[in-house]
Amino acid sequence: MDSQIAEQLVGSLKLLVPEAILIAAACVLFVGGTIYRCRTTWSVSALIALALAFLAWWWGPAADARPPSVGLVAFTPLASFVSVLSLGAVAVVVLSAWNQVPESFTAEFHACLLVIAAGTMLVGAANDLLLLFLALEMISIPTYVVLYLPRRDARNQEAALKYFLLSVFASAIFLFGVSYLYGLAGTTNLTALSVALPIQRDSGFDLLLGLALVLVLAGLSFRVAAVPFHFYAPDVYQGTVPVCAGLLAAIPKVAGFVGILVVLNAALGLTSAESWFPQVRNVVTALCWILALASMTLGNLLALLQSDLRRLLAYSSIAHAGYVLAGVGAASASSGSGGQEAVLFYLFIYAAMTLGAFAVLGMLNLAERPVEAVEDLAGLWQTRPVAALTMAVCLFSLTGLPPTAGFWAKLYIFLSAWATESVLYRVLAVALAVNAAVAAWYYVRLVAIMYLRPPGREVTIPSDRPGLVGAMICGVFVLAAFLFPGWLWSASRQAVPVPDPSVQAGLGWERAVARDR
Amino acid sequence: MSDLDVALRIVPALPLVGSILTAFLGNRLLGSKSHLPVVVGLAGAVLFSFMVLVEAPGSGRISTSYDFVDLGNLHINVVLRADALTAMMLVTVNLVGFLVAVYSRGYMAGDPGYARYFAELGLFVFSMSMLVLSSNFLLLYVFWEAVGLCSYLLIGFWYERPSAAAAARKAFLVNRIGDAGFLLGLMLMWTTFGTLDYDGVFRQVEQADPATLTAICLLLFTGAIGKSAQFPLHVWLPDAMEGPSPVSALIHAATMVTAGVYLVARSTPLFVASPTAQLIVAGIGGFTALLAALMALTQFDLKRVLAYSTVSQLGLMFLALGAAAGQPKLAEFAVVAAVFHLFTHAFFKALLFLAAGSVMHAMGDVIDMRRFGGLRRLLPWTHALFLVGALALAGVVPLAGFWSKDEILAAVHEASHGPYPGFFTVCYYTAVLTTFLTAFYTFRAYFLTFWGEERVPEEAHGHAHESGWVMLVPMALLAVGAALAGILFGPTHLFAEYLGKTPIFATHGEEHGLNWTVMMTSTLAAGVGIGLAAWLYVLSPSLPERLRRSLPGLYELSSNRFYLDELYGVLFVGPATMLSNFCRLFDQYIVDGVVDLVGWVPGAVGRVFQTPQNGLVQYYALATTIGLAIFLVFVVLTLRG
Repeated sequence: MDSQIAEQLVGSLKLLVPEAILIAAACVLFVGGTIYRCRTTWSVSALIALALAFLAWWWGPAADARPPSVGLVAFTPLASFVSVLSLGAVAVVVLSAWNQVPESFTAEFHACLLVIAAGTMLVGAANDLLLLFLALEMISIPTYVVLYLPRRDARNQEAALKYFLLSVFASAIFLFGVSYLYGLAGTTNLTALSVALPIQRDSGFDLLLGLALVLVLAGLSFRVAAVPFHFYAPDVYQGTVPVCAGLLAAIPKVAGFVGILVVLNAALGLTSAESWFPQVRNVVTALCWILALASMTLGNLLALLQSDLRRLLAYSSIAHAGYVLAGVGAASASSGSGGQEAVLFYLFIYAAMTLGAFAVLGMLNLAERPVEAVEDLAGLWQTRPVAALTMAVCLFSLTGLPPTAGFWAKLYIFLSAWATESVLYRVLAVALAVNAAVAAWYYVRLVAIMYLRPPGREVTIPSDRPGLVGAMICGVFVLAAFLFPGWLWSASRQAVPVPDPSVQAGLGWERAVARDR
Repeated sequence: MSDLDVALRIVPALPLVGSILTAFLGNRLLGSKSHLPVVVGLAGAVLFSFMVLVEAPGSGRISTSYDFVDLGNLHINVVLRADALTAMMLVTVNLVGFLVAVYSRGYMAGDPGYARYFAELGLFVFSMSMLVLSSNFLLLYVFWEAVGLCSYLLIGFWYERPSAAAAARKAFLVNRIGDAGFLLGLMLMWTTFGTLDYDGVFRQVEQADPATLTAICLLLFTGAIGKSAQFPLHVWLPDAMEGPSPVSALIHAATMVTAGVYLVARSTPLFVASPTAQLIVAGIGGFTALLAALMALTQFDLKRVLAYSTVSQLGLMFLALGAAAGQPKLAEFAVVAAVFHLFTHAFFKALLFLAAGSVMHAMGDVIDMRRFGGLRRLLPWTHALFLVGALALAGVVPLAGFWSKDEILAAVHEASHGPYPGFFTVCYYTAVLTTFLTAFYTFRAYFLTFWGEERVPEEAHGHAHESGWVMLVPMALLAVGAALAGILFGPTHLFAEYLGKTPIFATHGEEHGLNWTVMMTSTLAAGVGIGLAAWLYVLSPSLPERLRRSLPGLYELSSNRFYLDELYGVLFVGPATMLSNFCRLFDQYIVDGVVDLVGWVPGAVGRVFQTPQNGLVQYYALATTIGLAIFLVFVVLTLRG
């Protein structure tokens, strides 16, 4: 038995090579940054580390050939999906941070980004609630530093502090929920959880499980900025620099939603044919419905009123959290609705389009010419046509208009909500469509300002090539994924966690659980 | 995927990629090299389309499909197919497109919109390739609109000129009328057959109700009338000459305007089943051929003469397409004649337009034939190449136009021995008369431009010069086509045999030998036309003026294009303007009011919700806690029992 565990541990370690590369590189950057200060060196090093991690993932055993793991980490297609998403998103952030961070902090900043990338990858791979928690903290803690580094003025410090306080609060709520789950199942292992809970379906645990899941959901809703856990978003986005706002909009949202899917799958078996706690599942479905409706409606209505660009995009990110929650709710309402794949697809596209928009803002934002108000974009088409075009593509995608991938993403969420065949969710699908129409008003207004207004101030903007490249990668991706959505869609479909009966039956979890208790 | 599948995808993809590269990199990075991606892409497309040409007919047809969206009930599949007809069109489009792009390298040099021009050109060739590669009527319609859009963009290329903007608008609007008919035809087709796939539709022709079939054919033909500028929707094409000359050569002579001919040829199984529709096609075609030829007689704008000539030649093609009315056995011969004329016409008409562009280039953008003349010494190469094109258009042995026009005349002559002898006899003599008029107006333009005393307008600033090799070489290659395409493929039956492999021809007709009577008649007509033009415009140049004064009414009628534009102005444009004014008022006061209200409501609601966002972090934590508490209470209340 011991040798088996050791074998499994060694096997898992082999699969953790990409994360290990990232962490090792982060250590090099942290130490090296104190000795040698050079923007280009450390940015390029960070990109190389990300590329190496990608290659390690690529040359690692294929997702389906990996042994089903019952340990701390599980190498499922979901882990692969999240890995690619995380590496790509962080690479774009590195590019757009290239010239946006003071030279003296470049190494630290990029080191933190590498840790965030590793943390996000672990969220996808975590097979244990505690590792999930640790992975989420591996994202949060470097984020505090990242928020703090680029600028030292009062506004930035206030933003970083606000995020820190509220994030700690949310982590506590999440951990509280996790403790309930442990109390119910006697284990924190997610595979074990998915075996232990159905056994006790008639034990009258409904209320406790419901409370546990609500607490977990609430803790993760902070990460995804869903109403009513969204209050920090507009203030923090506005206070910090655009690069960090983009990071906040993309990475924690991906991690939070993946976490939600992982926990709900283990606790309620979203894809399994029989649902073992139908009552609890109904409650979760209802909660998701409320959260989704509130987030998208409130986010869009408040975005309408904003004249500050980053606040506007913050409310827009709240609204997008609402759209994704509709997909989560649809998955919870009916196993055949395709909600989970729609959520994963949406997250991939959302990360690209929101990072692209913030990357453009970042490359235009200078100390002597800050781009803050909506009006500051006036005439961008004449001064920086490529940036304006990229921004327009990302905004159209956020609106959900063809020919951008945002259209497919919204369509899939809409169809999954419709496919639940529940009246409430069909109402939600309609509300989603109405919300998308309302949102079009403020997105298209930005495009109109960029293209139709004459440039306001004549300032020669030094070209920020890495930032532009980062933005263009996002823009091109969003267009390409419209034309060729098939591969991403099938990848999302494969990434949906499926309960593996061989794991559940073959490894004697029932006995193990019984003994533990 | 076999090699051919790949080739089918590459042919449209290369111009598209070139177009996108130029659009994004053009102005800043490529600058005066913006033509490179499109020219290289088109060169590749030409090679691959020849590959398709060689391979396609062997297996009847080849096809490849691309799943655009595959999601449960939502399934969008793009299917490309190539048979002999498509392969022939594909080669024509890409070859002429490539030559025109090379020519444009010289013609458009230094234009501020250089990159935009090539991006739009690449987009057009992509759309046109997709149009002929489509495997169903819906996809064909999508790209039918796409080529219309490209045509609109390129006619209005110099959009700062009011005349160009107006011409682009006119082309777009007139085409909408045709397209509306086309769309109705598609709907009727869908309700009748339940499919829009070529094979699916053609399989069910036998079972369909004849009246419905005629309606479908006529609606499809409406679309063809608009795109191919046939009476009564021909008015946009002459105005479209406001675009750059290479665009006129490619889009408004060689390729896009022939899309209507392609549509009717592609739908042969439908039209064969409806003699009524075929008679109407032939009638409109014949009438347009004569009408446009009459209009061309008195134009002084060199490009407009060529534009009316295009309308007239397209009319001849439609005449041939309708010639099989009541004689299904004749269908293959007639359709092949029409497509053969389409093929040769692409070469010599593109050549003529490019030569006209070369003249325009040398004359400082003056195109009025009254302001220059005797250019044969100044522009020796252009003169020689224009002459080749003019001889081909006039139908002089042994140039291309002679053989293809002769096949059309032979087909119509054959038709007059069928069930509608009277109708087709009239058509035949109309076509012969058109042949005579064609030769006359073509050589009128030729003599006015290149003969007589040498005159150069002051816009040329005294340094009128021959165009560079980059413009002359593509013209020379087209001239080779204009000279040889007929005799190589016509009398040898190579073209007919090749096209006969297209699966649309169910019943193969008998071999048709050379019809000597028709040949002699048409040669005579062409000779008389050229002779008359030489007499009037070279030997006694004062005669046309006296003629004009002695026949004022007829002259005015022709030079004012039978007042059709004015008639449309009174009948359609006037009422439409009034209606639009009314709509504008309605929009301004009622619709805008409602929209403003709709826009105001979310803002007002949002303001209410904005209050809690006060910037205090402890308040946020409290609000979060309250939210969480509400959820917990909700859970407890629901799950307690």
